[in-house]
Amino acid sequence: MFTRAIAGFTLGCFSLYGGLLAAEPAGERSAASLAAEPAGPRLVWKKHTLRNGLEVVLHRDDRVPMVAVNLWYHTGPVNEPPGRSGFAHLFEHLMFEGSKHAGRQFDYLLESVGGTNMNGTTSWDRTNYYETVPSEHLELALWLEADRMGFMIDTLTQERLDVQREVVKNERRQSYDNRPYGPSSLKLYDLLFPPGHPYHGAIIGSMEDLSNASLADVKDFFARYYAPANATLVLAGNFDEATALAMVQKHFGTLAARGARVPRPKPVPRDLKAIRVTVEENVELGRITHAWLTPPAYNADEAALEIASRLLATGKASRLYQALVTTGLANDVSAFLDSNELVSVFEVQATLAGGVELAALETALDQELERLATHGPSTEELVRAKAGLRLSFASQLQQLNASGGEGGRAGTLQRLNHYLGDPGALGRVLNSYQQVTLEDVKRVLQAHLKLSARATVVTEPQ
Amino acid sequence: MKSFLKKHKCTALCAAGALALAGCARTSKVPLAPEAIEPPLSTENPGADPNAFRRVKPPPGLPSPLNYPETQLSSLANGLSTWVIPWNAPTLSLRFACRREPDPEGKAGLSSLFTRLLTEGTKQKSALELAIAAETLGTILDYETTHDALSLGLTVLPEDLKPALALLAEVVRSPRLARKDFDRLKAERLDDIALQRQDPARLAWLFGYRALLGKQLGTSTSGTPAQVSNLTHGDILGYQSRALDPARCGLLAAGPIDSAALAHAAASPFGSWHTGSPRPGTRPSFPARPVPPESAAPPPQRPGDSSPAANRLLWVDRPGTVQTSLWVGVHAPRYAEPGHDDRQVLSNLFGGLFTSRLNLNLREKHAYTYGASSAAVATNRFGAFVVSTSVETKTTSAALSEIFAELSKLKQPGTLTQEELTRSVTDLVFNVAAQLDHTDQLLESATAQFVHQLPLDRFSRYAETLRNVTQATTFRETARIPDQGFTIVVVGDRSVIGSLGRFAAQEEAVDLAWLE
Repeated sequence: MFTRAIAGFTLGCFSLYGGLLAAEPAGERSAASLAAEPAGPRLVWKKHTLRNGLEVVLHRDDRVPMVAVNLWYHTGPVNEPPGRSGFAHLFEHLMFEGSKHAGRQFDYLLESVGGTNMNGTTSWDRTNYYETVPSEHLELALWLEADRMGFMIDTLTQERLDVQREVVKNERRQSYDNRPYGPSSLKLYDLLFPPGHPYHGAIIGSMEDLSNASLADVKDFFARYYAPANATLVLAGNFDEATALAMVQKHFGTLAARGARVPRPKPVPRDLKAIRVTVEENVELGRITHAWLTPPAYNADEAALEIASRLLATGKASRLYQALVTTGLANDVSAFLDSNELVSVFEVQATLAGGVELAALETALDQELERLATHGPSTEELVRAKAGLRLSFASQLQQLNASGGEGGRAGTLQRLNHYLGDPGALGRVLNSYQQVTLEDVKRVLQAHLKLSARATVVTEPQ
Repeated sequence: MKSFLKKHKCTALCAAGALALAGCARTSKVPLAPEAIEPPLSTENPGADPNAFRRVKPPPGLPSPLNYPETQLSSLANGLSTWVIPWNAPTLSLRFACRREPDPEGKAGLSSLFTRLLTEGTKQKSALELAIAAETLGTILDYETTHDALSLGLTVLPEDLKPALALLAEVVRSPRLARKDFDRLKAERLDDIALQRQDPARLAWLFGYRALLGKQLGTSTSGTPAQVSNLTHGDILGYQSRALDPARCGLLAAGPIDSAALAHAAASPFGSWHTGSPRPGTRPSFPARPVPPESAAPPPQRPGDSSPAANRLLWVDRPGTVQTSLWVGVHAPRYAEPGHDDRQVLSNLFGGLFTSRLNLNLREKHAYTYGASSAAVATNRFGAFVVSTSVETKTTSAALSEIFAELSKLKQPGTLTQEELTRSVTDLVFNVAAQLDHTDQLLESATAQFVHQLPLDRFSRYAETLRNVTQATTFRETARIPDQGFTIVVVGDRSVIGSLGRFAAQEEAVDLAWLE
């Protein structure tokens, strides 16, 4: 749906460090070029591509003397070999285990200088690392990130792999195995992505596969996917562009070119038939979760599906809150769209109120889904949903790093660059939400949320 | 978004994507003792290595001033105080808050159920109409009850200040509080409590607070099933006049607004609001330094306790679980008592930072857990120093040993280094500075000032204030951590874990009924 719209003009190459460090700007957009964009939040950015293939996106925002450093590797569980579920996420942990020149002091040094919002996350299609640092410590963060991009593998030992393996297993226990409804959520993704699908196997991975991960696997994954050419660095915040770019050249531009940008996998169509599983758990209240497979991230129907999710379950005036919670059938209800590169997932989930029969809740839920799909929303509902989205974007775009490195200014630029190849697509994306019509909502619900093509997991108390 | 967030926020799963997300590398914390993390030095000729420059940590650039705005305090004609943090941002965060007394004995859950009921309509609008009014502004009317306050909040676009204030005022001044809604929300609350208790980590906190603080202070603000069941509609109506009064409430804002603008905009919707004993023209004044509230209660003592008290260990048996939730707590000073900043710095270096002692030990050294943390909880009426973590079942006893070993080490003279003190202070200072990233976060500062009666320059001078925290003042706070007298809660499979008698003279088995 969206195309790359950067005409691009060339910046002068930096040559502080000779030919090794020369930048090759891919394009740039100036503030003036945004005049034709739709109204709403705007991000002014410049994109460069270093000789080794690393993409660099710079966005200045001088409200606070801080900089968000946000680095995406365009790899994730989608690239895991068979029998290694959870490996991309385990690898993410290992990236904090130190590197050849900086040693094992990543968090120690950043916490010592006031680094905040520091973390890494793994999603199906990408793995990210981010931190926000006081502006005067930008080079420290770049030094640490570059050293682990280039030399993490040089210092990793079997002992540290084993420690992080156990940490990850405890993460799985804490987040899934010993958490209410955690086993049900794992089961749902098993139904959606059976063996053979590139998303098969939970992102957290199975205990068995985690146990089987070896140092050789780590070295292979590093060589294949953790190359500069397969990564994008975004800096957002208060910095001098020329100085920052020189720092990037110094620390990242000098990393040897190796590997290449991994071709992005093609969307995987999957004909989902109605399937239903019951999971018994140590819970007091039952829960039902329906999930549909929907087109990949930023497809033509995404805006209407996002609005549909808000119409269904955002706020007390939403359809399902009124139909299920105010009537006493459910304790809570939610609906959301999880956008991914190969295929997205639309979920609706409701927790039963005490003493309520599942059938009663399920009937009311399906009736409301069908009603919205058949008759569509009212004009007032659509206006409210769009108002909510406008505020939501204004809210999250005031942050430098947010939402696990996928939101805020830096994360938003990364998302747009990763999925659309265009950090400047924000205006068009925002516009696509505002252009959704009543008919669009009906159409996407009828096309993508069929009652006969969904995976259902029912959680029952043991 | 698809991950757990850092530190203390590891439970903050985003609804969207929670299933798909594997998680982050760290809930909190990471690696290494400082002495072990020096980068390796090469003996090669640096000139021969094109990467030799990487061995040198880059020096910092020139520091930039951080202009955290001072809070502006004023009041309306009826005495309602206004607290404003002016900041140039695309959103405006508003909150109406009232200081809260503990719920009366036997009525646990009253104030939080009352707050929840406030969002169910006004005399002019049904619950649905009220929700539509908020959602037309793109926002949701939020509500919260903590140990010290109850509040309602909205985040809106700045141009929607007027309708947002009108909405808040309508809810405050003429809530519907209908009996049928009360009955429905009471049932909903009982389910909420059931959901809370399904989560072993939350269960550990519920039992820990109850055992440490006693029945009134230690019961969850959500209440208990028996006490919530006994609440009446009359209780709610009676609570209204006690809870909502201009003299004990405040209007808080963060965003592109100043005190004069808020006062002007709030004059019409809130200025004529009077209940109880109005104090027109009263200008609130607050002490330069916080003082202990008069109603502060002393730590409860258990009958038969001698000094020093022995550890008390509560077992919440959960057969078949693969992980144990641990909670180790002890009394600590309330917010207003001297030494608050020292205690925060101490707790941060002990179990707040990713590189805290506790996390480096339990996670990075032993891999018992995904994360371990401590908190110096400080409310107006009680304080507690708490260690919490979830560990693999078979490591429960070993993890407890390490927790107590770290606590013991913390009390040993000479172990608290200037380096870790500085790291802890820096982290606290910049986490406050990071609130400038969002008006909702800034509003938390204004809320703390309102609730705890902090100086208006508390956060604009936070870095300067924390310079007074030294090794000596921080170490002095370790004296408050006893050798004995801890409350220990273990939520896990007792048949696998076995006896934990070496941590307490007596092991008590408790169940959910005990929380009543």
